[in-house]
Amino acid sequence: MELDDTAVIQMVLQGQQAAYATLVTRYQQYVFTLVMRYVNNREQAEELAQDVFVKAYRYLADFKGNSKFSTWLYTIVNSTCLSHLRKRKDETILLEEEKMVSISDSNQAERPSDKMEQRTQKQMLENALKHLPESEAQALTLFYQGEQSVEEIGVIMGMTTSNVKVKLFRARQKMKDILQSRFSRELNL
Amino acid sequence: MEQNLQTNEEIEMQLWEYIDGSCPINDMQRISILIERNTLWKQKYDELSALHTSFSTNVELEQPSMRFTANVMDAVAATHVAPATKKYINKSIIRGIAAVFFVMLTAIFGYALFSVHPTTGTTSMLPKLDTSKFNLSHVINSETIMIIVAINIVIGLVFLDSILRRKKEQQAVKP
Repeated sequence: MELDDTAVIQMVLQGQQAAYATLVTRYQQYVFTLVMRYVNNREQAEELAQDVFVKAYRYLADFKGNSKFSTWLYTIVNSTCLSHLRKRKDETILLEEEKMVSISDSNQAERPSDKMEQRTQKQMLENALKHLPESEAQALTLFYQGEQSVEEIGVIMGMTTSNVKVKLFRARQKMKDILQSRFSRELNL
Repeated sequence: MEQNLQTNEEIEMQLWEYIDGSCPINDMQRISILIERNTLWKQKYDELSALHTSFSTNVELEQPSMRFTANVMDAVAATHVAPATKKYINKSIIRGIAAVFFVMLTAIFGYALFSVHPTTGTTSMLPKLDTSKFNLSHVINSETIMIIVAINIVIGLVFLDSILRRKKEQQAVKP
């Protein structure tokens, strides 16, 4: 029988360090995906994701159980990624506006009939997601893949519920626009 | 044209809330009737539902390297779980520091107040101030005071709103 998060946490807090591997295995894909929304580089993402799990382990005693463990863990993901981006702001961060401009440029440049026919729906969605500003891609991922409610996303991203709703709405609208303008034929939208 | 765009956006916003199930029951019923009877609503609903399903099923999670868990466990082996913050931040110490400051300020204020001469209003402790040099009556009048009070009320309401909002969100997050 699979132990729930709270039981595993109790085991770790009682000194069974090896039990922590259960939590890492359970959440590694979610954490890694969320980190990838911020840094589009697998090596860096892996380092950051590892950092997240080490921080979570160190402060595990601070998890009060008021929320789901995943919500608490994703809060660490968010703060770790933001501080990482802040550190290397000058080097790599694209301004969100610039990103959107590049989308509209690429929209005009690429035609649905090009290579897109060979791509699967999954690849198309992944591709479209990469064109969203980090925070919007993060909100969408938390909502659909992370199974977090609007309220929980608010806690993770430090926003009010209504701001999260607006962010999700904008993200979906942008995704719809990107998909319709670039992949409408493949997706039958 | 602009009004049309706005209406489309409003419809889509309502439809997303309907699809997410985050709108009130009354709105759910109203929107489901609109989807049944209105072609535009039906068309938009189908479009957004397809997108919603696509987001839920077609976006795959990224897979880290095979050694990821082992790497984390290696890193974790060198660290210890820190004691809970509430254990080492003793509230009584914080309260004690606050009490010391409060007592000090009260003592200074009390001493200054009691050392004022009852008839002349002068004190040996407080610096003497020639109030005739400062005529602030043209700056501080009833209008300015009303403005300051109004600003304070607005700030107070914003603060109260943020507290209530936070409480509501915390209650919603609790499993």
